[in-house]
Amino acid sequence: MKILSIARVNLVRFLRDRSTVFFVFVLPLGIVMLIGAQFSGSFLPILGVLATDGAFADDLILRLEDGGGVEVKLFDDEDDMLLSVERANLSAGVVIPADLDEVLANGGSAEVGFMSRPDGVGPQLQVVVAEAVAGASEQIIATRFAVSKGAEPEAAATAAGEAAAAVGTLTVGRSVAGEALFENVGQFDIGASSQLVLFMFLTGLTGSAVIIENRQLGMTTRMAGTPTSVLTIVLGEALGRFAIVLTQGLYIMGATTLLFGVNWGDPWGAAAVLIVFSAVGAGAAMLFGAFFKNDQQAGGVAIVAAIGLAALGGSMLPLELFSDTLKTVAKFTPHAWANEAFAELVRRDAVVGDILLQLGVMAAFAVALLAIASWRMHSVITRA
Amino acid sequence: MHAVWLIAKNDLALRIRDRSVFIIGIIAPLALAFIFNLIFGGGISDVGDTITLHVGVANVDGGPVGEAFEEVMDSLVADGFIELTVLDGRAAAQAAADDGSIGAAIVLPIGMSDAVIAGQDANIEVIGNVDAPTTTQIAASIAEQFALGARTANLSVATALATGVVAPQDAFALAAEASAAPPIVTIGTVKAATRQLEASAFFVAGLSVFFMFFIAGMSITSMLEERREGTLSRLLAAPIARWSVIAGKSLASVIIGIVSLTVLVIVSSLIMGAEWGNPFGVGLLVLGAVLAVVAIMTLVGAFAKTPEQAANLQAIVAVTLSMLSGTFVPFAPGGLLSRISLLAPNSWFLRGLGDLAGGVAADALPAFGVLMAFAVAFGSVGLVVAGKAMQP
Repeated sequence: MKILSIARVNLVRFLRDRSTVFFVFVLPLGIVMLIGAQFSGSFLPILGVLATDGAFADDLILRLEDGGGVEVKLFDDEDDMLLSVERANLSAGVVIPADLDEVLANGGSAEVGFMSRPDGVGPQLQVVVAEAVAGASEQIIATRFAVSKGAEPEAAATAAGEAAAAVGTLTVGRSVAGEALFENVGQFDIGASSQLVLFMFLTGLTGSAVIIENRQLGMTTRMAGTPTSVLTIVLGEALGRFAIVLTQGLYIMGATTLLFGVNWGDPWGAAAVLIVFSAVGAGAAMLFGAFFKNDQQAGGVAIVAAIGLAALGGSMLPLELFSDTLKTVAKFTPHAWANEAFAELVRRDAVVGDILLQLGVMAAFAVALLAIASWRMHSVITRA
Repeated sequence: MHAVWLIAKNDLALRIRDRSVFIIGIIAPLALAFIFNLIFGGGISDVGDTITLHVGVANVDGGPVGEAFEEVMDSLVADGFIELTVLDGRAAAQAAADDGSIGAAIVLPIGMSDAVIAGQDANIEVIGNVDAPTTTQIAASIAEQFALGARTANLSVATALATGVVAPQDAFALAAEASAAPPIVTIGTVKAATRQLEASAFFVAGLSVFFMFFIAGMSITSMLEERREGTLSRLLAAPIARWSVIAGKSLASVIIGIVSLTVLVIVSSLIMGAEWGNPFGVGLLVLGAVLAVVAIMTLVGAFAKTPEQAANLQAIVAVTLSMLSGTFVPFAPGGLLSRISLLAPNSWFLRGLGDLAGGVAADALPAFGVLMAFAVAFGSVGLVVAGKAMQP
């Protein structure tokens, strides 16, 4: 019973802390929303086009837009467009000369400017522009050819227009192959599960400052002075940490389901990951609380450890996109196993039985962390 | 002025004795930047790395048109636009696109040359991997452009025939002439500079400002601590101006901030190979960023009654501004979010560094100006509010 009351006091203190409202309840949802917003936009490269009115320019823009490979953004100032390319707001830019129609009508040839940075996909987009230019040029070329053979310009232009619809064509058909890396994934799904893992661990670690404070203020020692065994105190603190981390997890899971319609897969599987990972978070918090003496230092290290481990464990970039070496490194973080478990549940419709390995490894992490922390706490409390 | 310096010196000594300044100011941002850089490499967006797209070609046509297409592909390889894999048939193309070993495959069908020469329809197939939309688009554009070339020649002959200026029996000979016609509109390329920070410098820059907020916040929290411990009253009883207390404590934060940012810039360029650009420009931006951050934190902290409250408020502002600037979740360039992000001084620091990366020291001036405006606006209000908050 004492264990429960120590745990309860910890949870109540956590919930009463006013910064909890922001860091535990507002911030995670904000980040999930930001990540989701990144997935809502199109991933097409953006191509700037500087154009004045003209038949050729209109045709060219239409072809670029209909091609489906780029998003076209119109500009009316060349320097502005160049700066956008340089700042990577655009992948590349196209400059259509103002007198293009006039030059072509007089039988001349012209140049369309193409600007890109050396990095990114910009240089390759030149091919897309070249295709559109070739398409917009075909009737003019055909007209000129006929005229060179003696046809009347106007008659030739009309004939070219008519022939364009009838002439045999070499077409290009497209198909898509392969299994998408992220199939069955909603806009907010990846962000929600990866941030769930990140924030549960982060909240656990930053909460460890309370354990240090308890020791600094002598509260822990006073508790040990009452007829309460050291084991009870340690277990109570650990249970309190567990309750806090679990609260964070439940909140993110519940709120993202309600607000963003996030799919968490099999509910039993999701609950199992949530509980086991809460134990991992509690273990890490106890470890920090037991080893650090200064809560400010612990706070700094906690942020680095929580964000760093989360990044290494695939909470910032999905594990599937890691290099092979990095994938091996990731296996040493509990986060990677939690993220993998959610990937199985959400993307591959797994149930609890399919993620036993992941749950087992996380449980091992939790047991190891709690064992080391308890041993250390025990000696710290009895020494004082 | 002497009082300001004395207070600053005292604060500096106190803070250096407490090792957390080193953890927050140097070790934390470096460690995180190192991890981020390891994971994201150059791949946060398409900035920083030249990209080679991997395209496969299966030519089962066996005729002159197919050969001409291969020549086009070879020239694109020579230009460094693509990496080419020769595939020996449609099945191989499908398999390679399926497993993602190439981004897209172009299949030239049997009898394509005959069909093109006869003015009939033929179909080039582009098979793209589902996760490589850009490569698929480029491959399709290469094929389309080539197909358009063949089509334009046919169209030219058809037009000449329709206007009756050539005889049908000459059509075959004319096709060769028509396909040799030069393009009427060519493409001239302009190489733009890259005004974007490369990945490793971006992470160090973003994270160092994030942690800078916490260093900057310490000046006002230390004032609140002094008030609680009663040493502030003693300080105010001395014959010095009230503002000099805040100024002194802020000066300590500014000095620590500049030193830690400078160390970060130097260390990251030595061990992570981060490229920061012109050192004078970087210096200006560091100064502007530190002043802006200290000013904002002073104002925010001044609204608090206890050091804990101040630390909480400051942490909230720090995290929010860093999130807005894309430090934790980098934004796709050009979108609404990247415009909103300009509300945060962090973003201006990053933008200034980006402008600097592609240019000279003077390119840092606009961003420096904005950072100084942040510093003056928040700093002056902050001094007034903090001055009132000092009443013991």
